[in-house]
Amino acid sequence: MRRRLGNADQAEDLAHDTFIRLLSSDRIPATLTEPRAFLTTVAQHLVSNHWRREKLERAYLEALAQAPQAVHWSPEDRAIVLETLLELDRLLDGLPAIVRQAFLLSQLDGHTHAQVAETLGVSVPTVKRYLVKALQRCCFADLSFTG
Amino acid sequence: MSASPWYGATRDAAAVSPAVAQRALEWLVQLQDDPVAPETVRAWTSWRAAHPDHERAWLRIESVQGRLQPLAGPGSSAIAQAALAAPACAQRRRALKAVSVLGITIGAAWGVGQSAPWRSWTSDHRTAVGEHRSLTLPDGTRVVLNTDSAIDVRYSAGLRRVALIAGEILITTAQETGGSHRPFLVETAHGTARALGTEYAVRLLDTSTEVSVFEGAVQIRPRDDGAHGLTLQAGLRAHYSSRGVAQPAAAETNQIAWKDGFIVARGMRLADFIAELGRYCRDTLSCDPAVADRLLSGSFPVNNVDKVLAALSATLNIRVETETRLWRGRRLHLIAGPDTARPSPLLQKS
Repeated sequence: MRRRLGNADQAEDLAHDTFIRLLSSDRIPATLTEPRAFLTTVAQHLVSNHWRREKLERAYLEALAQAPQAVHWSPEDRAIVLETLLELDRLLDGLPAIVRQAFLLSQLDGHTHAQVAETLGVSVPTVKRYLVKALQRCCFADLSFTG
Repeated sequence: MSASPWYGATRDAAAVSPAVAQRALEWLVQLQDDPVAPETVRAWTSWRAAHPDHERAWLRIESVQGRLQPLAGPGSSAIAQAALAAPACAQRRRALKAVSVLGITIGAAWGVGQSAPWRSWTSDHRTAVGEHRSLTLPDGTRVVLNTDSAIDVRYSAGLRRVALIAGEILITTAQETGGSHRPFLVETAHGTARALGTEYAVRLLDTSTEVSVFEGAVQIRPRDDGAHGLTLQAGLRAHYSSRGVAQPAAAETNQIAWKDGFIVARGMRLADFIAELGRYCRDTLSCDPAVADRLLSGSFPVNNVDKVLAALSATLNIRVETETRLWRGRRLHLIAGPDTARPSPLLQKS
């Protein structure tokens, strides 16, 4: 982990998180034939989450720096927006970019389906399908949908 | 995928079938269409009521929409999109550009109506915060809706029924002519208030309903104890819960000055006054305990908080601390002013 992160403190934090995740997980196999491999998988997952988080945080700060309106935001508001972004990013992870974009335009900007369709160059029924797909992830991540 | 911390209050939705969740999402997307046909809204309403799971799924959707609120709106959504778009792609560059040309003040004029539009379709008539509206029902009965209020009108062959879903209404019932004289009643979660030829106001509070009668009389029936109702005469008001009616007190026409756009205060505590004023704006108003008991009198417009607070600052020797927030309006906190000894024409001794 230290090798991947290039930082001993962060590696230690993540190692701690790895064990917390293991202890609170109900998906541990009953018998670990390859405990080291298993730990590595969990740790890799956490490391990639960590980078994802860092990347989003940087992109957020960059956007804030360019936004004149954001100078009035309180630190509390900035933090709430970041937390919300991180969670939304996690929930939408793995969706095609166009589906994510349809979701953001419609749910955050309040664009009509027709406007979203025009922006993305797809039909209105397609926009609706994209929205349902993204909303499944967002609202019902604890259910398994087919198709 | 694992659950989200956003599901904290709606964990029971994890038990609904994916098919129900899917249908709920399709409804949401359909309701976000522009425009929405009234039939669609009706069909969706009956779908929601058809099974407890439908409602569970829907509440999950609503609560997640609430969690997205910080990212919605013209200022923050541009920033959200810039942050979420993949780096070094055209979308990101476009989004960043959009961010840098935005000059809008955050939190301004981005009502809940825009981010959760279906709320306004769940009821037949609705007012936004700060708005009031008069309407005439099919039988000629006049209804005035106060700020942030919603009603459903359900007239049938034998009954004129208005369901108060939120806020406050003032009713002036019409005398029905012709063969049928249908009873008129206002229904809330706590019971019904039936008009006996009358003008009356009904306000829905968290744990009770308040009825004030200005003309004629009103028969109150708590939902779970209909046998112990009460007939309230003009000039009286009473609170009732689903279990019973509290002791009536005097009703004053000042209470309904809102229909003309005013709050009329007569020796009113500052704390009570700002609680009342807060109903008409998206800002959150509060006051320091040190000034809460200062008394004020006068007529104050409900649609101009800044002006009212400026007037109060001068007369009650208070100051307003303003904090701008991102998506919930401002936080305005009233504290003791710099010159507490100054006498004032509006300040009364308590």
